[in-house]
Amino acid sequence: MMLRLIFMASWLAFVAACSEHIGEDSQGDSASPAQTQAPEPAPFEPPARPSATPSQARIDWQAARTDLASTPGTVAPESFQIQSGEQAPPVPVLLPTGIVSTASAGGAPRFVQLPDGYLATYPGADYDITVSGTNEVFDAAPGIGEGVADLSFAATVDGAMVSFTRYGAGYMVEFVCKGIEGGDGSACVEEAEALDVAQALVIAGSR
Amino acid sequence: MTLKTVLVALAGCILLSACDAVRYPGDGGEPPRTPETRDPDAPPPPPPTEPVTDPYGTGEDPSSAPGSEDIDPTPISDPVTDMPGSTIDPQPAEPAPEPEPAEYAFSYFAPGALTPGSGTGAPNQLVHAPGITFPIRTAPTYLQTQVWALGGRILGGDECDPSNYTYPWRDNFCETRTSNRNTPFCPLGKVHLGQDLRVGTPSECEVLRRTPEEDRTLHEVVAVEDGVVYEIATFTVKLRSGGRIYRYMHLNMEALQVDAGDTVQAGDVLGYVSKDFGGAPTTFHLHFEIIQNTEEHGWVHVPPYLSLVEAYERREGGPGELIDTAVATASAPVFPPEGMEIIE
Repeated sequence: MMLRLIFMASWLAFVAACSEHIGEDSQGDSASPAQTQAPEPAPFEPPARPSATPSQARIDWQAARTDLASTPGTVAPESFQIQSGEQAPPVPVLLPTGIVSTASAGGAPRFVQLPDGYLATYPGADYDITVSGTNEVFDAAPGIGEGVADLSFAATVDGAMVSFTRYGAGYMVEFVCKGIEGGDGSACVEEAEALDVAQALVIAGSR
Repeated sequence: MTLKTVLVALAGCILLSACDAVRYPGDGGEPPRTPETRDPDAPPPPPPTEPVTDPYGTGEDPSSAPGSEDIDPTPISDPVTDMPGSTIDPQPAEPAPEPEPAEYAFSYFAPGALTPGSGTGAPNQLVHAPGITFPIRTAPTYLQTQVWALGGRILGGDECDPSNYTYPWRDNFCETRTSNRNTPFCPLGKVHLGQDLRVGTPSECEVLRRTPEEDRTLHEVVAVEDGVVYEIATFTVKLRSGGRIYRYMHLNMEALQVDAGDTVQAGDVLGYVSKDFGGAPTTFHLHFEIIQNTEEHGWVHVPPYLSLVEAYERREGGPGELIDTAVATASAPVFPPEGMEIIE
């Protein structure tokens, strides 16, 4: 009897010791895939090349507020929600006047406030107009000629664009022709007409 | 009985020790530890004794024993004790492994090196949009002229020709056009304001050709940056991201995956490569433009070529090989026939 007890005790001690080691080993096994797996290759980083660097334009808010105060009334369509004060876009909001958008033209105007500025889109019968304003500005490549005139017109594949700077911010008015055929969109808006629209933009919001 | 008890206990102890020592090389576990047998409070072992000149009492100097001339007198270096500052000269350091030669993912001609005869490229280009996602999600892509390639208006031929689906890439920003489109980044006026990307393989080109227009969804076009899709025109999708605007053209406008006003993340699918062009003929390709608010010129079209090179390198996980233009462009210039309109 005593012999059996001693034998069983020895056997139990043996099993306990082994199971403890198996536990350690299984922990080791669970860690081993991470140890044995080849590490994920780092994503390839292209070689350094000269790049355009962004900066934030300094906005002349005082001039914008003065202009806004002298503007007779709001020009923003009812569908727009332009915030005021510190919640306003980080550039003065310029919008076109006298734009009539109908449902048949493609819906109501849209206004999108962005971290760097805003977008305002006006669907039209012959062309859509989008006004973009931003305070993000990039340096150009060296040797790319003199700066542009106050208003710069350029034809595009699907319309035209007018670019200018005001209050320190960069603005662009895009004209996107509708129903164009042959890919030559510039036929829907003449340069003079596009410049007129851009010159008639009115300030509708400021910080 | 007592003897048996002792024997059984002994057997148990042997089993326990055997279990403790069951290991095999590379089993992933900790190596077996040999318990420290020395009492930590015990005095350290005595230092090694001085060498004995005549250990065997023979009266001979062991250094003159036969065979001793074979012993190298150079001190044996001990990697543990040969530390910097040691008086013993260290082993010569292993030379650093040579970096493996770069495996090029693709090749490209220099920015501004247009197809000969197709125009004058933009010099001194920058990466205007560093870090963008490549606009084609996965398919192989070839930046090249569409007008001056096979299937284009100048050369004629078949756009699905395998020769159109080869590297190196070619810049085609500033390529000659008859429409009055300009940017200060091009030395001449009447130019192409974007970069054309041919996508996929010749056989996929054939498949696309046989597929109804509205069902052409082989090659995904993705947002290159986080931003807002602010306009969807007849054949153009426009994405605003900070002071940049990206214009995508000739997608399958019947199968767009976004609406105007959608906010997208870089890599989100916008649509699929096709040849929608408001009814005008063109090839299967993506026309890609970058308009950027620049300090000197306001919002203006900038060359996308190097930004796309960099984005493709990142997508493919390897560098592009810059091809020496002076060597590689020994082909005769091809000018557009007089009176031909090139509006694309």
